[in-house]
Amino acid sequence: MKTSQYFKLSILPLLLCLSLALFAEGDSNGSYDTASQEGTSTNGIDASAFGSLVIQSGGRLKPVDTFARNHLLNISHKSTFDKQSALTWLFDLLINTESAHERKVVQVKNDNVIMALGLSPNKKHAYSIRAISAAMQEKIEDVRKMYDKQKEHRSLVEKKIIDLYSRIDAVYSLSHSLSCLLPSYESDNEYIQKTFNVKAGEKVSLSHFLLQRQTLQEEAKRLSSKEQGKLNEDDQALLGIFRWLDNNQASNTATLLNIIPPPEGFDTKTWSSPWDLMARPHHSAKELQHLTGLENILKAALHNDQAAFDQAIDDFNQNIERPEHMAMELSYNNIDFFYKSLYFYIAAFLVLIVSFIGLKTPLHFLSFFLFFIGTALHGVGLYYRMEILNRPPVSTLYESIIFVGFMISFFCILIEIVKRDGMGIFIATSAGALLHFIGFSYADEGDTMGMLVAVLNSNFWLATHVVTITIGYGAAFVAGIIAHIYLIATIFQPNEKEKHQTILKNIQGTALVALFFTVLGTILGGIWADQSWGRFWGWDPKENGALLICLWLIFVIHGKIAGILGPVSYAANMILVNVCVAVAWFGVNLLNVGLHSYGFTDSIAMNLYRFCALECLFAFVCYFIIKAKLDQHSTKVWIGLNLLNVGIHYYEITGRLSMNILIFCILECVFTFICFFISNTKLNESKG
Amino acid sequence: MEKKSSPPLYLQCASPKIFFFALIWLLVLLIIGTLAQRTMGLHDAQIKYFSSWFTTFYLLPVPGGRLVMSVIFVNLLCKLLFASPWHWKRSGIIITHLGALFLLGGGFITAYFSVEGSMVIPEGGKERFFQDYHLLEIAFITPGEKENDVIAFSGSKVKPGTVIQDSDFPAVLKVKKVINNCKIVMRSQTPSDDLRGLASQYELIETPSDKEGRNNPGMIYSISGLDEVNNGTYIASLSHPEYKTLMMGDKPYQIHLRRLTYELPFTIELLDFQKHVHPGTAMASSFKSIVNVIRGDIPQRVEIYMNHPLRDEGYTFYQSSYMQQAGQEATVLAVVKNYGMLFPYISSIVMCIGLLIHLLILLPKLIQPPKPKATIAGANT
Repeated sequence: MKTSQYFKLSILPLLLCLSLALFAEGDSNGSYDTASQEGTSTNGIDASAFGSLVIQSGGRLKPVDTFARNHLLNISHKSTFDKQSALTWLFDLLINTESAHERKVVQVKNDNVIMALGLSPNKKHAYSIRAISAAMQEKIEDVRKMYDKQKEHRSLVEKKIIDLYSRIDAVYSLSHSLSCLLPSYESDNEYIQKTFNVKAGEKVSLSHFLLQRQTLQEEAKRLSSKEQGKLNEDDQALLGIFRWLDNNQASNTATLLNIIPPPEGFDTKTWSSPWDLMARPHHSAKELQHLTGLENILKAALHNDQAAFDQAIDDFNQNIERPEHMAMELSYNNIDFFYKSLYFYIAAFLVLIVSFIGLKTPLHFLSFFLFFIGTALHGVGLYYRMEILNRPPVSTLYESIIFVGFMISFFCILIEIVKRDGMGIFIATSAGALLHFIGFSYADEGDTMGMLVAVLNSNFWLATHVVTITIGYGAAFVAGIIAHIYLIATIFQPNEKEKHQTILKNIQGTALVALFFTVLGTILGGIWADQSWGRFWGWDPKENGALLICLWLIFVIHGKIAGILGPVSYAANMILVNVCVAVAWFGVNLLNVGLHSYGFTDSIAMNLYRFCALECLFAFVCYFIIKAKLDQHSTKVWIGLNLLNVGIHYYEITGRLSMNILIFCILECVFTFICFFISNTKLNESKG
Repeated sequence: MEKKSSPPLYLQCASPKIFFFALIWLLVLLIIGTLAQRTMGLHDAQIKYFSSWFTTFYLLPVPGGRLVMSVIFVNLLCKLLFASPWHWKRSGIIITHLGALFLLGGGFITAYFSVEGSMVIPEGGKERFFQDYHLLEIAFITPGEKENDVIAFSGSKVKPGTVIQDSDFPAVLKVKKVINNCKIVMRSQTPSDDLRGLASQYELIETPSDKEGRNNPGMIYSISGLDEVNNGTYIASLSHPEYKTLMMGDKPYQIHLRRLTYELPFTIELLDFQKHVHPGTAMASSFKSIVNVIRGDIPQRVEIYMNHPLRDEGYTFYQSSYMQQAGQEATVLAVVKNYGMLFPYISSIVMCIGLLIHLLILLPKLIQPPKPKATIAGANT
């Protein structure tokens, strides 16, 4: 198949994806009643439309649908619960708080935490909010002590318990967000009815009383002037109201649901929660209108009147100026581009594997087609995020994972169009799927669209330095993966020398592309640092990480040019580029020092170490096998390999990443390299 | 048989093997130095591994970052001058190597000739001095006079054994000990007779270096050449200056240990400091200082904010941080004077052009479509 034909054929999926994207856009522009997945709340109402309300959370305006997803992810690490959407869970929590607290929504996977809190272990690791808060209450003194400790002195279990405490606290705060608007008080006392304008037989909410602040104050004054024994029936009823108001007061805590915009003409961009308004003495007419609108929504839900519920939400939304990206964000939530992209990658990978067995050409084309759709969905997802957040594609660790995956796919499309042997599809679908899985594990932590700290708040530098360096990461990964293919091909197809040469050239080509982007990205990063901190280079861990990739690539490329590294050593060392990228990307944040330490995460150390150990092991095992076939000087390599094994076992036994093991591994790498060199030199001498 | 003569020294210096092994050592240093930052702190690790000619690794003396980079610089220079074939096909490589030389050269100029520090200005306040982040000086201050109107003995003189003598005053100061980080505590033992001032009641206890570089350096020094009451041993630290006044000639002096202070050729006045947060959160989205740069009596209004420094007369001012000082906001500006500032900019452009040329020349050869099978068969036959 000629290259031009490939281009023509690739237009087809492009069109398909564009139409998919347009379909998504059109869908979201039309209405917001598809805001979430199917599911009704426990009182039978379909709460989907509730997701279209605008909320201010985490420093930006977003649909309540996103807010619900973030909170459910935060508490359960899942985007749905009991086959219900996050939104349904949230709505249940707001209007059926007691029953929602009984549902097993909280994920606690750490056995030590379960034991420390005295919870009974279960297979699903799921616990109700009620059970956890009861357990926390029993250990409240211990939790306080943990809080008082400095962060760096807390053990892993203590960190997890404090994290769990904060999550439960957030859910409690959320639970009472609309409690002031739920109609729950009924009075048959005529004095109360007359004084507070309550109709007989009608239930009213807390807000009904709290908004009549002046009347409340006058009545309180009147009541306090009376002697306790002389209170009449009306006074007793009034006292009952005060007690009820006092017991249900949540204005200090239930302030997460900021869905009421600031009044016009005020110099503030901060939205308010219903409880914020309750605590305020004066309200604009618009704010009172919003409160009434919310009350209508809740009333309709409690009466199980779907039509009135949807209408009330429509009315509420019409009174609020909606940001432009709202519809787009709802579509982004609904379509879930990255999950769909993952399905296409997996399908493309499987079809490619089948194509090696038979029906090579049509299956190869089908595989490319599926891979292309996966990449397009990946790209459209990134585009949606850029539009929603109004910033370049990469600014957080999560976004860098998604973007590197996309760049790998992009490079591999180019490779596949030129080479047409399935290698591009193989690399992109395996790496793309893996990075998607890593991305999802990050997304499970909660909000992936957070705001940026002040120093990062620069679209110019995010668009240049961060994008360039992540493109470099992507290209380096491609080079590393091709090196894997080279070593495997050398072992299993030892006689196909020409094929090996071609793969070797491909490694060299992608390594040069990676070097270009990583060097450019690193230098741009230095210039950004010069612009914002006053120094081009500060030997900060993140900077050193980027330099590590550049130096390693330079080392491998020059090693080959100087004739010091033979083809097999060259490929084995190129695999270690992946280790360098992983360490620079995730590892340096674990050190938690320097100006770049805003990306700190501490749950990835183990996976990172496993990845690095596996990559090293793969490179060394392959090298050993190939060298054992070629010459008799492999004893030294074997020693190196064994020492590495000792290191890995040491790690497995101690189960933690210590300074000693890292120093050990560095020395190990140096030693093994020397073994390579000696072995190579002897081989060259024997050939000479 | 004629003995093969060894190549001249400059060609030996251009050997790619030198570069290869220097690079390996640089990689090892990079990894060890980065890991050491977790325990030592960024600044100390940088000094020990990257900014030193020699360093130690478990007591074993090994080459430091500066030496390795110098070796790479010389190797690259020799390679470029004497051993690199100048051909258009290699133009990308040559340009890239030139850029790398420029980058390393710039690094040396920055390392030896740049000045870095910070200044704190409260709202409405003016300042024309800034303090070095790390270097110290011993200042003779006359109480009542303006704080910066002093006689100061800079950085290099604050080390054990230094003797300070000046024609302006009869006292002789000898630095006995300098402590990188210390705390000041009440003396546990009965003081000896020669302790004076703060030292008669307190002593300096050495503490490990702060990881963030927030150290409180201290100094033990002796004074001689004055009367019996004032001759003796003194202590001073950054947080606890010695307030005992010594009469030297007809003028009173206090001796302070402080950060090396530089004077600017103009004054900076902070008109307003603004901090913006992301709505509904406490997370800062931007910091901004609105300042007047005053030369003579003429003020010039300038805004300094994140990623937007002020550059004036070779000095660059960055929005670094902010603090509450005496109930009002104060801005913290980082100040840098760097003669090598332009080098990274030029070298980055040169290196990227070089790499791009090399990539464009080489890439079509490296990633090629598969050859038709017939050709392969033909070649085999």
